[in-house]
Amino acid sequence: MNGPRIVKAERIVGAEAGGVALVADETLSFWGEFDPVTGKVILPGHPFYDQNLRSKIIVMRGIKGSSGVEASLRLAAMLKNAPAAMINIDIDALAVLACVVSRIPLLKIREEDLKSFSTGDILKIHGDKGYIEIVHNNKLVLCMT
Amino acid sequence: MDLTSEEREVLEGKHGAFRQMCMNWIVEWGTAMNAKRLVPVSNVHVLFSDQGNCIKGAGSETIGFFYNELMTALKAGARCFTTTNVSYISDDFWEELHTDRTQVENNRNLLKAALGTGFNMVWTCIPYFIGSFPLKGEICAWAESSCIPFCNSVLGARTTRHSQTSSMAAAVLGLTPEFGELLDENRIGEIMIEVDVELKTNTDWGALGDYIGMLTGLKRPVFKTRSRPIVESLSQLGASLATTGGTAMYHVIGITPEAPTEDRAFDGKKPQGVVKFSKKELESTYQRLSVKKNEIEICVLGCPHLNLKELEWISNLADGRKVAVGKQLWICTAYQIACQAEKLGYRRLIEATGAKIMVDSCPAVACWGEWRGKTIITDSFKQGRYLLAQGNEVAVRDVNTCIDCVMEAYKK
Repeated sequence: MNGPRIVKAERIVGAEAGGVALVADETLSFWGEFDPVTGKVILPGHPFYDQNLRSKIIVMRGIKGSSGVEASLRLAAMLKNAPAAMINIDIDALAVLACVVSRIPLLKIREEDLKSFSTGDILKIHGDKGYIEIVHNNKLVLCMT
Repeated sequence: MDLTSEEREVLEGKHGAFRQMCMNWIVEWGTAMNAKRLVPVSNVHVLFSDQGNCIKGAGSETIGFFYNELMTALKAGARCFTTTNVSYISDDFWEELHTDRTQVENNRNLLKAALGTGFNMVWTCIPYFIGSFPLKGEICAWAESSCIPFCNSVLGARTTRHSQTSSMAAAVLGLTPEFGELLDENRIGEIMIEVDVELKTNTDWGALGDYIGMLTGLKRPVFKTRSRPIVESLSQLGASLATTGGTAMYHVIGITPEAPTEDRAFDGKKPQGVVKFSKKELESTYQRLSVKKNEIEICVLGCPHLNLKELEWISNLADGRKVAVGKQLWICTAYQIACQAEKLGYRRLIEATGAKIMVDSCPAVACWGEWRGKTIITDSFKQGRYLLAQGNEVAVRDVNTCIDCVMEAYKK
């Protein structure tokens, strides 16, 4: 019943971060589907629709990269609306660049490890050491109440 | 990464803070992408504009920050031939589009300040049609999603995907990290696309890219087609592949320079997969982006920017007709092409119909926030998808149909 506390991850950008997870087996384009001025996902039907991503750790299949993504994340970071970190299965070169420039840690996990995370988990990212720590497993808490 | 001593000096700040920041960006990016080194570039296409309506809500401090960064880049200067991508601001229509005056002035200042810096402010997504023509194997740093596949696939030159920061860094430093499509092994075709339907218009080629991009994503498709493309067909194909797939490179057997044969396209290897594209897929692609004809309010032509051939065609189609009352026709092109069109008489003819010629810019960015909820027709799947994402109803059809939807019939 206990989920794994440690998930192996490959550091792509950045190192340390901590925060509450938003998890979905989906992609997100930060250009067009996210409003950097409010920090919210604006694509109707998206699992994170109308949610504020500020300081969250986004755990998704991938970020759809484009030059617009960089502009959007850079602006979000400037306005303090950016996520605390991103954890992806698929790594896109322009999503990497966007994270480099916006100083947002980005880690890569294996496909089978996505299900170890749930929205509401509290995560600590140890990029240099190559793992993510699930400090507080939301699913576990829900089961116990 | 292995850096030269000069590159290390830049990284250490010995050549100024701005160059150091640029070097930091590309070294960190290159390291993350497993590049072993930086390589010199001879041709850069950079995103270089105030972001206009797209950052309206961001506040004057943020707008000023980005403007100052671009000004600093100009002062640092470009180390190789550099062109700039589409401006986010239409200087001719900024009032109508409610663009902030300060931002309009920012772009005017950038243009004035660019003289002598090596940044050629051409503000277009068709640099290759207005004189930027890298040859096969030439290392480039091109930003803009439709330019990138054109550079790699049609010209046989080499570029990775780029964003504003990496292309600006490439211009200022003359360097780019060596990974991705700069390397032979990352240019080989991966998925075979068997096209057994005739592609009769450039928009049909765009439909092909729109459909296939969703399936192949970042992989490299190889197209086997009965129909022979013209260059404008490949502009549309690359643009729509890049939009739905993020594609940086594709091959068309017998046409594009690195795919003279099917065998060479795959470097003698077996394709990772085969996808069929027939009449059914073509029709369903058009069906996906359809609207009620009588509800169409706006038509956009010129994504990527129209070249002379396309402008001449539209001029012939539109001659003697008027844009219908309550409708709009936007024709988008590069300054160089607009000038030629003016000299040849096409511009006067097109504008007499009531159509608007948007130079240097593009509705997908210049009209940001102005067209939400409109019903729009365009002949470009790329433009169509961008406008769809902005909350509009969109149809994509060939240019003749587009014109017919917003113009009255020809009157003698």
